[in-house]
Amino acid sequence: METDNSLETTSSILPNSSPNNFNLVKEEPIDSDSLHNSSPNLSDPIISKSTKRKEREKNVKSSAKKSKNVANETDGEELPYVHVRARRGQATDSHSLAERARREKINARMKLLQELVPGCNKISGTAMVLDEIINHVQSLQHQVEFLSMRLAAVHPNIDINLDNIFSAESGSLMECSFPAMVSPQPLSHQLWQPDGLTPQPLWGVEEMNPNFITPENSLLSYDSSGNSVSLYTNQLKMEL
Amino acid sequence: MQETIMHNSRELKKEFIKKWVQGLHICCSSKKQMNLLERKNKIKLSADIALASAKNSTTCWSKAIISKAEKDEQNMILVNNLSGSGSKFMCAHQKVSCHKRITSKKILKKSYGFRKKMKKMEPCDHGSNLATCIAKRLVKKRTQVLKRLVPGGEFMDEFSVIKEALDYILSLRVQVDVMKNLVNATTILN
Repeated sequence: METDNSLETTSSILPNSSPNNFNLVKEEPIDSDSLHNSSPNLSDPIISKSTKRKEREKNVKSSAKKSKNVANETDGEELPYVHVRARRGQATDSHSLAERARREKINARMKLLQELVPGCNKISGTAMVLDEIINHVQSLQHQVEFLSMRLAAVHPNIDINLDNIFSAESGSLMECSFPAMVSPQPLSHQLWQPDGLTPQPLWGVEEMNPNFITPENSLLSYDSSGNSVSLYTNQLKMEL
Repeated sequence: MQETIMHNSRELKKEFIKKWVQGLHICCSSKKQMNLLERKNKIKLSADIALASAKNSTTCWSKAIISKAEKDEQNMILVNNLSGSGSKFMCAHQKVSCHKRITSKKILKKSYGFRKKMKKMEPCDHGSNLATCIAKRLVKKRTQVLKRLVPGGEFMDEFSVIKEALDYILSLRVQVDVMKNLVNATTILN
């Protein structure tokens, strides 16, 4: 009848499941304290830290066991305490227990981030990964600045032509996400087939004609014939 | 997991494009002549607000963007039309809870000062303490930088900043994708 703060699970930690464990930590002290009530779903660190301090004094005697096996199941019942089992040979000091739990949480999130940011998989160590993440965010923000400057330069007024937008829209909807944008794509044309969007059959018909696949157009597969553009825009207008 | 990310980003793209087009129409209906810088700012602002409102107040950074934009009165029309009246309530609520968070953090900081004095009395008994101290300091510096980058990050603790940064990166990618395609489309047409 003990919950575990997922001491041993690594990749199986979902970001959604971890707050559940910590909800139990907050459950009891929120009722007893006169702290302001935030909703239990908010991972409010201040409350959880101060409640952890009180939890530790209660938990130290009852739950600090040295064991080789750590249970991974989480109970759905309401428990007053969170019992954290210490692994064999590790400190059972109340401070370090909470610290370790916190570190595990952070490490799990860092792993997710590592998968997301390109080129982060080989780097080890939190500080370096954070470096990469910061660089990535900064580069993305600069790209937004630069692109909005280009858009402002291209359009003398902000009134962007509707047909223009919709054709770009259909292209961007079809577009594969970030890393795939580097190479021009005969591949991506084939990738569009399994897509479930409604203008799709028309795209498929057009793709048969090799004249339209040129390097410049391949990013958007923008069709230069006026009929098809108006057809697409009508369809998209219906969609929206 | 990759498929869910792709699916979510496609949905986000549709929402973002819709709202951005709306916002740009509102922008161009207001003034007639704008110089390059103003236009760029308007475009970027409408894109940011569209992205944040496409998230539908599910994340902290999106609320932070919208509340920051609301402070400037010029943007009120834009923000109101894009985000709708529902988010106004959410923003007020968020501001209140942010304020509470800030005051309770101040209380905690004062108590931390007291705790540090007590801790300095204790002898450090762990080996390799220096390395861990250095590592902790490095990580702390970087999380501070990350807090400054992610909108609304100053109000969050380290753990939530990482979570928000995840989501923020995904949404920024969507934004960059759409804008790139638009630029390419206009350059091809012209």
